[in-house]
Amino acid sequence: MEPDKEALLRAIRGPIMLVSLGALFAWDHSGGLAFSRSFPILLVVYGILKLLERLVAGPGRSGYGGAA
Amino acid sequence: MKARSLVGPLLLIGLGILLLLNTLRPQLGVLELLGRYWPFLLIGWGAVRLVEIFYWWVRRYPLPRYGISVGEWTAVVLICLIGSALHAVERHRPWERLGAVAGKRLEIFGRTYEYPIAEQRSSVPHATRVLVENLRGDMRITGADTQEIRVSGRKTVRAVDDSEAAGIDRRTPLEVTRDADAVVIRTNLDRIASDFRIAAHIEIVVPRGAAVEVRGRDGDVEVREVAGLALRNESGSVRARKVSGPVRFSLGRATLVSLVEATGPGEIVVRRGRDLEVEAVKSGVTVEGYFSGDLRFASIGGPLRFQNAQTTLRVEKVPGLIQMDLGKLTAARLEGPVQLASSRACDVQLDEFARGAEVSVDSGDIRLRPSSSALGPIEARTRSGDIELALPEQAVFQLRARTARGNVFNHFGPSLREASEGERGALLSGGSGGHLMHLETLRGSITVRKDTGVPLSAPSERRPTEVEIDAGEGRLRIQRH
Repeated sequence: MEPDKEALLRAIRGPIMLVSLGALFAWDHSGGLAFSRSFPILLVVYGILKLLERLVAGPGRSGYGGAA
Repeated sequence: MKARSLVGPLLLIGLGILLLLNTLRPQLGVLELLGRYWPFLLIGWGAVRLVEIFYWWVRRYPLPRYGISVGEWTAVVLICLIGSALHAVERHRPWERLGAVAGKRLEIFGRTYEYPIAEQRSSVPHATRVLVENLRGDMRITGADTQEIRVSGRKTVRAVDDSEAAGIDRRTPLEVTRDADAVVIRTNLDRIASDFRIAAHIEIVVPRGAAVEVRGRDGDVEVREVAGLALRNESGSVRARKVSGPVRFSLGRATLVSLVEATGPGEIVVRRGRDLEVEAVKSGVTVEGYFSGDLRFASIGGPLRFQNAQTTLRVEKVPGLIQMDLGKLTAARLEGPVQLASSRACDVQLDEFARGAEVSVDSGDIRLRPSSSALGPIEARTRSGDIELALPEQAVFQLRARTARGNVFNHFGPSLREASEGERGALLSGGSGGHLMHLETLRGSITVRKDTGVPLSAPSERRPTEVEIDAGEGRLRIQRH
């Protein structure tokens, strides 16, 4: 896989986590599921993003871009 | 070329505009809005950064190692902490409790002095506008066949000694003034800094054709026989009877909100209430807010809209009765289509409703018995609970019923076909044209039976708390039936 895709995935991880965090708080404030109960969704999102990074990196690469 | 992010400057501009609005237009309540909507700042921030990163990627600029730097995450944590604190403050309003605590502390040290409010009269035309401003204390406003306004009552002052109490009484005279289009009745309690020490309980008689506007903060209000009512109050019960004209309530905390015999339209907004009663209103009623007790809607001649973040109810007319509490909605004789959506657990029972219904609850049993004269499409969904639908024997309908875990019971014979759904579920479908009945539960049984003419159990005639206000004698009686 192209290394720049790997870099892209790594770069968008933070913004996606930020959007998810904002969405969970917005859900809480609008009377939906409380953040204290919905926060595990953040772990799931983070896990999915890391998984994608590893898949894109392919075998033999660490998934941490230039470090491998 | 190293690409630079736009988020920092955008955040600075946004912060500057917000602070500017807060100083130039304090009535907008910018802090309150921030407390409510700050999570969208994070969403916007993340979205802008995503767009930037994709743009850089397409233009082959070097991408940052991390989309959000450590410093930015620190700012995010700070925003979360400050935003959550603002939200908690906006929601729980601790200053109200602090005020109550301060008031109680004074009650230990001082004593209550009482002063009569001498009657004041002002002659006015029959159809006039009356504005009442009384920050604290109970009010009773009554329409009568008269051409004058009469105001009387009494004032209670909490003070350490006589002279202090008399001083407070002198500084807060009752004023009845006339300006261009209204008679203004003011108790001037805002002239005392710690106004929790003083309350004016007033009784006002106005001409029957008067439109009344009440601005209060703390106290029970009773209004009857006036032509139009607009009421704003932070805390206390409200009871309005025989109002010809529009009614608008904007309330904070309210033990009881009652509107009976009004032409409407009615608009009721309550931040946090206990009981609500709306009865015999000739046109539509809109209710917005949270109620922890009993809600009762009866004989409403126009559309009823009830909503808060968890529950939405829409009915075109209520010739009969709707009773609701936090876990149950029971209704009979409604003109639909009826729409009910709740993200809470709620048992629903709709009896004799015309022109269909759409019911969706998080969990709870749903029992439906539509009116035989005006059948309409029905949709009922619950994640966990039984669904029962009673249809007239001769009804022409199509059915699609599905339970993912439970049984179906069919009383309409071979016109409906049963099938299994997965390992534990069942389907029931078929029919002969006509309106579609769509029933769905993930866990629970579905029964489609013939209507035997027996109503579902009638809603209990439980009325909300009764509040008696006697401003003249200063008696307040609250009883629960």
